[in-house]
Amino acid sequence: MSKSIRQSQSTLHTWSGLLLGWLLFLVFLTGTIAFWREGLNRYMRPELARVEQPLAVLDGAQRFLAGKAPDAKSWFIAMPNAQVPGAQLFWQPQPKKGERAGRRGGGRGRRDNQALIGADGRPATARDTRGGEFFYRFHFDLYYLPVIWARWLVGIATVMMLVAILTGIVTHKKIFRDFFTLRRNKGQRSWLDGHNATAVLALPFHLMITYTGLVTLMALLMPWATVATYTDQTKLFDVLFPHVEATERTNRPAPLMPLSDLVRDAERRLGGPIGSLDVSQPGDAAARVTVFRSPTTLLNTRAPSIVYDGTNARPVWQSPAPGGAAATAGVMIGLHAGRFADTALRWIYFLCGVAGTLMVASGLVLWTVKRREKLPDPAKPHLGFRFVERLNVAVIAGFPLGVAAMFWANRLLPVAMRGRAQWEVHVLFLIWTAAIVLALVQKPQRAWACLFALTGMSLLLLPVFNLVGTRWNAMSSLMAGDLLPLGVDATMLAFGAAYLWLARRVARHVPHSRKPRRARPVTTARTPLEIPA
Amino acid sequence: MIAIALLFALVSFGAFGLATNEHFQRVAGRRHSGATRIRWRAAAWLALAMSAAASIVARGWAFGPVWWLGIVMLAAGAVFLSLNLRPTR
Repeated sequence: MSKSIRQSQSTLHTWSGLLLGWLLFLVFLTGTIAFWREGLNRYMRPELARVEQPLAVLDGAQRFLAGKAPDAKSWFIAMPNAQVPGAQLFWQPQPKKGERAGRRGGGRGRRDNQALIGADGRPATARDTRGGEFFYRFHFDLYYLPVIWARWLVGIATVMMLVAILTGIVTHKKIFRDFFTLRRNKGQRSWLDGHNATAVLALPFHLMITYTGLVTLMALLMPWATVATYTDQTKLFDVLFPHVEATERTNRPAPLMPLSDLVRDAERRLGGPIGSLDVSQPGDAAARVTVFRSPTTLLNTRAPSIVYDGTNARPVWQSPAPGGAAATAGVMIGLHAGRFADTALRWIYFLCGVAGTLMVASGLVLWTVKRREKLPDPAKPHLGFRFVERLNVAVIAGFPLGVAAMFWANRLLPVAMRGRAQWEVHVLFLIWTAAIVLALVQKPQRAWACLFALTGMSLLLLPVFNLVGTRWNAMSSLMAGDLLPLGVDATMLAFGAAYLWLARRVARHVPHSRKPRRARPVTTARTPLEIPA
Repeated sequence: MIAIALLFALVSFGAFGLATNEHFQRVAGRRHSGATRIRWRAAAWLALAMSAAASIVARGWAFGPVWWLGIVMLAAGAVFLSLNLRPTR
């Protein structure tokens, strides 16, 4: 009886893992990189110096906005700090007559109404790039696809992932007893041990990240509870994100208080660093400034806020303590995104993400490894087998090459290019497409080795190029006490070396011929570790 | 304090690893007798509890458990790699 349950779980594990496994690989890989979202935002704009005096930059932002959009409907300022490239600004002009004013102005004209204030307090000109934001968005929105479709796809894949993890624990029930076992150079056994190790060593992370990942999408995947409770969507929004209604413009001009004073006061009242400011009707007697606390020191990602009268800096409203359900969701999303994590904890998040990516990849490869031995004729596998085998190469080896190419595009595309940020992303997908073609026309073993080697070379050479090709490189920023470019470059070197090592392993691999298999059952009966070395 | 928690976690998983016959034999050259195996296990659990306590003392009840799980995974990974990827003779 118990055997049949385990068998059914095993079948479920195999197919829930395989069907959306390739998508899961992409989601895991980009999500893992997205733990360095802020760092990459800075790394991919190497002309910008680090922000040393956030409040001075904020003053610069206010000066700029007062000159550029003195009578705007609202200003939005992301609070600068040493971790971000500068103060990112958006402003929304007064709505013209007959124009419908959406909440926060919708997307219209947003690209023309934004600026970045650099470390010197003046508008900065940096290369146009999406930086780390690309990985963050791709992680749940994918690309080239309507966002809703993408989120449904990612949501379904995440459910599959949860199923695969839970059934995996049942299927590989020996994972806890064989916790420390890795049998090397033993074909299928080694793949299985590796798959289990990446799964079980970071099991708390995998369970947490998959479950909380579903929580981030819960309003889309399972809207029924909210639909039943809130007939009006805006009411739900008000409960989740409490805010005061926007004030009407009085058309009586009144100077706006220095925002840096408000930030200092809000830091004291909210008890932590500030994340962003929202100024409505600046320069008017009705001006209101909403100051949001940064979630970097909170487990709950939905941070509290405080509203000031912009003309006299008196607080007029403070967000209420969140309810139980909202706090739970906020904390889960906080755990998922790890925004509260400092550099050390973020490294742990990142390494766990790497383990998860390896778990998905090794699981996909294991599907072919397991079936190859049972093929009637290994030289001519059936169509389904060849499909999975080649798609594995195309995704597991091809996509990382695309990512490496995107980092190169970030360095090499001309700064004046139109739609430069989009082209960085196009380069990723162009190179990936080329890799897919290569995976389809070449023998899998050659394609694996070739793509791994190319990825390795690209990652190894990028830090070298940075030294000669960019102004703020590992060396110059190290002199200024900024470790970030050195850290990213060193990580690229490490991954580059790992990819080259993989390429070498694959290229030198001699597939087992079928004959020695008959002699093997004798040795596989005992684990090699039990044989005295 | 968080470094102490990591140290305890490393000790714990080192002990868990050495409580297995395979790794104990490779390191010590002999197999476990029943009693030593249980003693290694007990020491491992104790060290694990100590690392949890140290994490919570260091980072409080909100972030402490998150840190502890992170540290436990890090230590388990480090011990796993060092036990298995030692050059074979």
